[in-house]
Amino acid sequence: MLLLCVSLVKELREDPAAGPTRFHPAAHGLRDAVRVAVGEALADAGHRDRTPPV
Amino acid sequence: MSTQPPQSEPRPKGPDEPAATLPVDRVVFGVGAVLVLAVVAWGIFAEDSLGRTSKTALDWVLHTFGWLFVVAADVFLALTVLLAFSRFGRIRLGRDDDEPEFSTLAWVAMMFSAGMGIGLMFYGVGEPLQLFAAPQPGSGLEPQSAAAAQQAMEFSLFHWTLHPWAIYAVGGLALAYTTFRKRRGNRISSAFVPLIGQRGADGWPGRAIDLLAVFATVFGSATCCSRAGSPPCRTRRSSSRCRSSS
Repeated sequence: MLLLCVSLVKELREDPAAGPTRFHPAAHGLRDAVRVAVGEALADAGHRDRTPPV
Repeated sequence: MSTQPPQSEPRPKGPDEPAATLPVDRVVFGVGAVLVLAVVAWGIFAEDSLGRTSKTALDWVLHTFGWLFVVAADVFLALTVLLAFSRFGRIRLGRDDDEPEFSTLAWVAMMFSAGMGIGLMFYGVGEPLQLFAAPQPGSGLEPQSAAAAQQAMEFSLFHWTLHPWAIYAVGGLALAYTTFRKRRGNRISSAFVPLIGQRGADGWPGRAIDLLAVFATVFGSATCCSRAGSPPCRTRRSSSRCRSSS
């Protein structure tokens, strides 16, 4: 049954009907903030661009 | 007279759409039937031998893995709550445009009838009283004491409230997801495809899983029906029919 849980979660994570992940565990916010502070472009795919609009 | 089909009529399947169910696996059915009939024959012709063996096996499992039952039930409960309230709770157990076949009230009625049924009616009251009168062996509690009453309620709440529903939910969810959404068929081995692959599910690992599921279903149901239908036990040692409850 515990293996069934692992199998189920593994499959649910790949189901597109679940929608995008709400939380990103990696510290992208801090990294982006530092990049914005030093004026570096945020080019990584999937990261939110927090540079103020020109 | 209206010629429109009723709304509950299932949508016709496309030509390339796989069936939700699979034909009977003759190997699993044959081996499972022989094993089940062998155990039944053992019980008919050598009742004491089967009783001693099953009691020894039960005692060993409970003594060795009793902690795992509690931990696993907690894991199932946490997982079902997380799945229900996370983004995975939006996934439909069917095709994206499928509609529920039954109303919510009918589903709840079916869940209580098939999931808890007579067990909840009988042991919801009987188990706390039984454990209050005769606490678990080895607990060291005085029968009919305040501590025995507290432990009786702890066991009864664990057995008859959220945890059993979580155990049912994990098994039912995995089977419903793989059958009605993934369209892999209604064998429990199909739910293990992400771990053992489609080849493994179609081969002997999958058949071993299906046989285990058949065994657990048949003898789990038999135990449940026999216990729920047996007369109330005054104490754990007062009747030979009540020995399995310890």
